[in-house]
Parts: sequence; structure tokens; C-alpha cells
Amino acid sequence: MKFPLSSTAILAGLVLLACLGYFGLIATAPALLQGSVAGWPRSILLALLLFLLFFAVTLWHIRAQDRKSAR
Amino acid sequence: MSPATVFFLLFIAASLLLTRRAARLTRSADDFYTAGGQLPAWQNGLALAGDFLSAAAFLGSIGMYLGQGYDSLVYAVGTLAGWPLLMLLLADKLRALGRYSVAEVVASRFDERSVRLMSIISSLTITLFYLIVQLVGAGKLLQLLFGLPYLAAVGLVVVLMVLQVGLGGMLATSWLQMTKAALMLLCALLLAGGVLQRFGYSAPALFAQVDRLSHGQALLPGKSLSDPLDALSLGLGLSLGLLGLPHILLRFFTVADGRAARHSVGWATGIVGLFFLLNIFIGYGALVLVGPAAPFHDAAGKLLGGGNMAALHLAALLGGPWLQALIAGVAFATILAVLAGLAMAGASAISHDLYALWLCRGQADPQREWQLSRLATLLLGVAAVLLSTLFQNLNIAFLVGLAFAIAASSNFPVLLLTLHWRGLTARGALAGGGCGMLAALGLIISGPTVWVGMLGHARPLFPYANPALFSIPLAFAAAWLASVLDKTPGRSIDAAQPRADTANQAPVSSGPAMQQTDWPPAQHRNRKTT
Repeated sequence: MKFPLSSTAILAGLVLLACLGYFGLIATAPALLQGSVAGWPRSILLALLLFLLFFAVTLWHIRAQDRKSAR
Repeated sequence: MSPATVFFLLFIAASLLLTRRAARLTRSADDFYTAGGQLPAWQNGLALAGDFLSAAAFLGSIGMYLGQGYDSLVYAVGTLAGWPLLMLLLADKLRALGRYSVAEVVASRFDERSVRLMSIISSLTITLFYLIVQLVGAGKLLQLLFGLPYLAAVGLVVVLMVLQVGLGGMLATSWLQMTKAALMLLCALLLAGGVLQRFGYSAPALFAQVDRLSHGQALLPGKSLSDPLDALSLGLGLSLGLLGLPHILLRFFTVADGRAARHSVGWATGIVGLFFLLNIFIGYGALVLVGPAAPFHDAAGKLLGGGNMAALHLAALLGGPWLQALIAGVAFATILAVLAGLAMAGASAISHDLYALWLCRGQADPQREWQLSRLATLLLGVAAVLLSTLFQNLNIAFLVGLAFAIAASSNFPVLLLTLHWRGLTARGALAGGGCGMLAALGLIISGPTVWVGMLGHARPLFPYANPALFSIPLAFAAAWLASVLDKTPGRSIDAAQPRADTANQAPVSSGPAMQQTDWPPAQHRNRKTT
């Protein structure tokens, strides 16, 4: 089975790794999520960072593909 | 007339008006199945979000913040991860290879009837499980919200669903989903704004209050997420399950090209992400404002109406009976829109995939097929009412997990390999899809939810509640092994064709292998792709 390691595959791998890493972290080391930064709980900040990552990956891919189609 | 009745009647009238308008514009099978295939990306994105955000995502997740705190946000992260994956792995390629349904995409590579049938069975099973759960939830919710008897509530919802899908097809469904998604977002903004106003528009002040009330527990993952393998399995199932849900995948055929499909996902990701973000404030707001408020609890200290009513109690607290009535009305519209999306996927699977594609081998009369799709909607509605009445007193929440597990373990691996791996053969697709479905089914039944929770055994045969970590790799391994061992000549229709992942750069080829069959139809092969 051959999957080319394109930017699409890298981005998909990044999203999946981030998601599984998050689930692994909450199961194995929930203590790391204790505490807060500027009044925001770390656990919520981490979830929001992942929201941001997923949205950024989506926008990145859309822009990259649009540029590719325009060429 | 109470405010709740006003909004309830208003939403019924609005949905009927939308259906009437859509019915006038629906003149062909193309219109019926795909709303003409020309929805702008932002509209399709809004409809995608509307299709995905069910009453469980709205009322259920806020109830979960109240009961289990941070776990609700963990589920949101898992499901949101599915959106970029959906775009990266499937969206534009699906659009390029399918015309009306997901089964067509598989059929565009394999001429084997058994592969098509497996794809149809998998899609229909997922849709039916989802439909039953949504309908039972709808009946119970309408009982609570408007005091309707269960059967009357379910009957009303199904009549509206059949009218919408049978007459207005995908256009009525799309309009309803767009309206509902916009209204849900508005409600979420009102509730989140109301909560933050109580804390001087300071999120840290809200979180500090949550921390004080729950001694920090509500801001950390609960014990149900403490098993690493089960947690990883949950994350994998939540994120990849989205990529196999037929009613979500169907929405990629309602736009003109791969570019619009990608942009649709961009819009949907933004809307769903914003909704989940607002849910954090609403959920924790419910925890600190509704949780300690005596008027919302019975003598035993239980929340009146259960966890699903938390958002409605919060609305009553923040905006009085009119805001509560608006939220109840939007919850009703949410149920209706999700059911319409599911009915659309079910009708398409029966009339197009099962009848036209499988039974008539792609040679069905389009007019007859369209008529059958209306009949299929009616039959689905009757079957859903019967099954939901039968199951109304059982705990069938596991069916959602099962539908997600089958979607992730059967539909997703077959679709991904069909679109990206030239080496996949018909036997490989059959083995992958079949193994994935059986594994998901077997592991959920033998797991703690059904084996212990429903069947009353002391210990589960399979120790984890979520099977995705095991069933998905099994499906991929079975597909790979069966393909590698398959020595049949002419194993795939497009064996001599360029890779499917070039489909977004050039129109789908109708080379010699493709010309041996009448599938996909010429009209589809000539459709615009980016």
C-alpha cells in the first residue's frame, strides 16, 4: 500500500496525532491540566488551542488548494 | 397562548412554508437528491453544521457540563477533529466521484454487486440506528417541552419529516438545516452572553466560580476517561466516525465542485467550533447558576426534566419565559432538521442505491426512481415510528455509539481506500467493510455498555466501551490482506486509470475500463471539477 506523503497526508496526520495526543493526555496525566493561566483553566485553554489548530489546518488546506487550482 | 406554543407553531408554519417553496423548485432527480448540486459553499457549510449539530449537541452537551463538567468539552474536541480530516481525506474527491450518494463512489471503482450491496447495507444501518435514536429523543423531548403525548409527538415530527423530504427533497432539507443552524448559533450567543453578563463579562470570574463550586473537579476530565486505551478509542471513534456518516457525506453532492466542497467544510468547521466554544460558557453557566438553584430541582434534588432541560432552565433564569420558549422552539427545529437529513440519506440509499444502482444496475427510469424515493421516505417514517415506539422505554443511547462505530469502522476505511489506494480490490473492499462492521457490532455488544449494562452480565467479554481503536485497524488490515491476496483479473474498474486523488485536478476519466459499464452516468462524468 503506497500513500504519498503529501501536505494533505501530513496535515491529516497532524490533526489525528493532536486529537489522540489530547485523549492520551487526559487519560494518563490529568494532573498536568490543573491550574490556570490568566484566570483561564489550563484544561480549557488546551481544548481551545486544539479548536484553533483544527480551524487553522482547515483554512490552510483551503488556501493551498485554491492557489494550486488557480495556477 | 403560552410563549412555548407560539414558537412551536411558528416553527411548524415556517417549515411547511419552506417545504412548499422547495417543492415548487424540485423538478428532477438532481433537484431531489442534491438540490440541483449548485448550493453556494457558505450555505452548504451552514447546512452541514445544521445536519451535524443535533439536539444532543445542543441540550445534551449542556446537560453534560452540568453533570460531568469537563468531559463534555472532551467530546467536543474529538468531534471537531473530524471536520479537518473530512476535508483533507474525503471532501473534494467524494464530490468528484459521486453524483447522488456515497455508494456511487464505491461503485465507480468496483463493478461487483456484492461491494455495492455492502456499502448500501452499511449506510442504511447507520441511518436507521441514528433515526431511531433521534426519534426516541425527539418524542421524549417534545413530551417535556410541550407536554405532548409520546406517540403524538413522534407522529407529528415524522409527518413533518415525510412532507419535507418527500415533497421538498434536499432543497427543503438544506433550507431547514441552514435556518436551524443560524437560529442555534443565535440562541447560543444569547445564552453565552447572558451567562457572561452575570459575571461582568469576565470568563475567568465564571471559571473561578466553577472552581469554587466543584472544588476544581468540573474543570478536569472525569474518571470515565481515565483508561488510556478506552480514551484513545473514544477519540478515534469520535473523530473518524464523522467521516463515515451518510447524511453528512451526502452534503458534498449538493455543491458544484471540489473547491465548493472544501469551502463548505471550512464554513462548517468555523460554525461548529464557534458553537462548541459558546457551549463552554453556557455549560459552565448552567453549572453555577442552575446547579445550586432550588426552583429547578425536585424534592430529591434532581434537576426537573433531567439533564437535557439544563439549557432551558438556564434560559428561563437569564431571559424569562420568552427566551426559554425560543430555545425550546429551536430545539424542536433542530430535531426536525436532523431527522430530515437522516430521512434524506435513507431515502437516497433505498431509491437510488438499492433500487437504481443495485437492483436495476444503473438502468432505472429516473422518474420511477424519484417516485420511489418519496415512497421510501414514507416507509422510513412508518418504520421509524414503529421502532421508536417499540424502543421508547429502553436505554438505546448505545445505538448512537454503534452507528458512529460502524461509520468509522466500515464506511470510512472503504471510502478512504477507494479514493486513495489503487491496490484496493473488490474483495478487499468487501472484506474491509464487512470486518469493520462485524467488529464494531460484536465489540459493542460484548462490551460493558450492552453486555453488562443491558444484558445484566457481571463482566464484559470485551473490556472497553469504545471499539474504534480495535475495529478500524482490523478493517484496514482485512481490506489490505484481501486485496493483496486477490489474484482475480480486472479487479477494479479503474485499475488502468490514474489515481483517484487526481480527480480534483482533472475531470473523472471515462477510459476503456470505465466504458465497459454504464456507471457512472455520462452526465456525472462530465460534471465540473476543480
